[in-house]
Amino acid sequence: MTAAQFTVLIFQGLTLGGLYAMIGAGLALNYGILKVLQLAHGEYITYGAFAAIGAIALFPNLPFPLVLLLAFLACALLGAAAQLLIVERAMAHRNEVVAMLVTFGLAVVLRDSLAEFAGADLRGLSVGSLAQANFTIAGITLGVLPLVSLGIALTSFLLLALLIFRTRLGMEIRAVSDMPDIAALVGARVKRTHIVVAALSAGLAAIAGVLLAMRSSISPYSGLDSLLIAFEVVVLGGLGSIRGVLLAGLLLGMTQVISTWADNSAGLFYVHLVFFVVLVFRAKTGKLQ
Amino acid sequence: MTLIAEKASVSRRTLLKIGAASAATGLFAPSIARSAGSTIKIGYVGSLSGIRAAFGETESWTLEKMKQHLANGLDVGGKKYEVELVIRDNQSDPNRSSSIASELVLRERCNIVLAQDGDGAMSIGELADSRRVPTISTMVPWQGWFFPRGGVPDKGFPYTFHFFAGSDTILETFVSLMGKVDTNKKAGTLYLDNEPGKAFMDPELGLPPMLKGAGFEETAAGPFPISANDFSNAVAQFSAAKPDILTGFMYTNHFIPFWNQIQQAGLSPKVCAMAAAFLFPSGVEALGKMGDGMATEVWWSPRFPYASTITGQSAEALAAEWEKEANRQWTQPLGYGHALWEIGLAALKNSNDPLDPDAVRDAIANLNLDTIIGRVNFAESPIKSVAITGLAGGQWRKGTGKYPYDLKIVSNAALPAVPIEAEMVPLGGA
Repeated sequence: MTAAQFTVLIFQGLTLGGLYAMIGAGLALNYGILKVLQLAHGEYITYGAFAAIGAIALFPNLPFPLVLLLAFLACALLGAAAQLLIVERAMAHRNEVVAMLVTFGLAVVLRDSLAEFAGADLRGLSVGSLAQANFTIAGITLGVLPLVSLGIALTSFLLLALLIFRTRLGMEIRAVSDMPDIAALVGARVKRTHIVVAALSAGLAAIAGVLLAMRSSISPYSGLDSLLIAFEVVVLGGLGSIRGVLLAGLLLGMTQVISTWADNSAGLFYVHLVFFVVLVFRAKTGKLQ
Repeated sequence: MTLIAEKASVSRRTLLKIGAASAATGLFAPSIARSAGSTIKIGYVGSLSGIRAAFGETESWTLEKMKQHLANGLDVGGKKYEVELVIRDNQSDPNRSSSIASELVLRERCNIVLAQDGDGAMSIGELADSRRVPTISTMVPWQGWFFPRGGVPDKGFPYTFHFFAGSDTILETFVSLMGKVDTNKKAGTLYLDNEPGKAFMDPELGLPPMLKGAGFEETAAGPFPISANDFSNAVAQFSAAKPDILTGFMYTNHFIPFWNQIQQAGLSPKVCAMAAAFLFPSGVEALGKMGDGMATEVWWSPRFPYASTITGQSAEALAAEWEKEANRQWTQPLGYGHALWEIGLAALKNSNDPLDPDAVRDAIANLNLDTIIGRVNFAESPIKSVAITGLAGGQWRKGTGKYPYDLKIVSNAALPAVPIEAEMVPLGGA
């Protein structure tokens, strides 16, 4: 492998990793703050993609930022409604398994509803000539779309970090996450915070869904694949850590691209292997949390 | 940035509408109903949605036409039989195909089953053979259906039959297409890791020895899994070797990210002949201007000089009727989907007793019929249970009429009866 080829692979790995980090971001936030493993996260990603596809079908000339915003808002609304009407009640049991099972049921209902409504076909978002646009630096030709995708992912992470660590809402979220009972005693609106976090998580999933549909294609049944990636990213990144999720996503993206160089048909095998090895290592060293 | 929603298939709602309409007319009888003494139950499984939905795009329309054709029953040997259709969509899912196979064979006890795709055919094969349900399948190269099931050419299978071109014919056509354009004789190859893909990349019978024999130097990027969403490795290899030709086997949903990465890497191949990816206009249209010149195998086209044994329509007339009623461009499965019913109904008629599985089995085995896709000859086939059909080589060219691209026949080496429509040109047009 030449240096130029290696550079291209690193670039592709980083951009794919950015997408994987985006896929895991919402799940990490949800688990980190609400302590609920949201198994409908994959479906939120799919719904985000389909919301964008639907918006384009209705308004073909809609600018991309608006499409992204619409998908974000549609899924945020869905996430908030699910939290208010279903998950919040399950959380009252104070047993994580109850809430997790409820989100599993929610995932099944969302997946099959979408298949019934929109059909089981694969769909994608075409970004026209941007999909094939490239630029050359030091004799190395790279794609514009992967860079745009990475930029959107990094910007989303930056905005999320600013929201959590630099705003009053973020302070409230952190308080509810760390000590919910005490936060409630000093006047924090716990239920409202939960709904905001659920909305934010689903909105981030929607952005991941749009990026996924721009890169390849998506069907109502894609949620499970996305959830698996999200789960690995979140566990690798340290449950609930935003920075950890970004780094884990990048690691998995790089692993996939570089491992495919050695083994063409590997697919996600080495990604899952890295996850497994890190998990075993953490279990052995007592650093699972 | 302008975004376009891509969708390349008929929606399941369309199928549901047909189902509802059919239920209203009593054709989709409740599954608890069993074949009465004068009722023929015809099972059908196809990929009407899911990853191979494009293969089933015309099927709902064809099914509706067959429903109309069979509304008054079927005359066999002077006796009128009622016909009950049991239509199932496997959603391109092998697991779903398996449960549908059980349903059609064990629960519905169909008198004959028509399988429109490979998953449906493979899933039902063993069960149909063991439970004596005559089954006819198509739309997958015959080797991909025959050998994975352990077929022996001089023995075949007891009750299952298949008609389609061979992967060897597809590959010969591809190599002939590559030779029609002036290139650096370097071919980059990659294949989906499934049965047809494996047949394509077989080191002894697949594309590699054919490329070598024709003087092409191959850069093999190997197989990739169906879940692949990144082709960085293949693109890096092709960037180094700079092949003028890209070929292999993949579906449109793989080709779009692959092609985007090829373009992002600044590569400009002159020939792109990718099996399965460009069978449909939607796959080519999704590439925008870059679709001009993509090459593909052509199993059927309106230019095929054949006619239907059911309606008497020519291939041209069938395509025109579809385009008028569906308001969409014709696709190749239109011909094969129609021919599947031609073969099935001809077998039932020739059997004299359509409720006797052995009689229907023998009728299929002795069939030699000129259909809308050409001659389907089980009777004189060197491979028992298989009727080998021909195909042509085609190239998508910028449309001159109603549609963005038209599929032109540019090679008829394996099917001389089909007229050549245009000369093969490099990618991007003449």
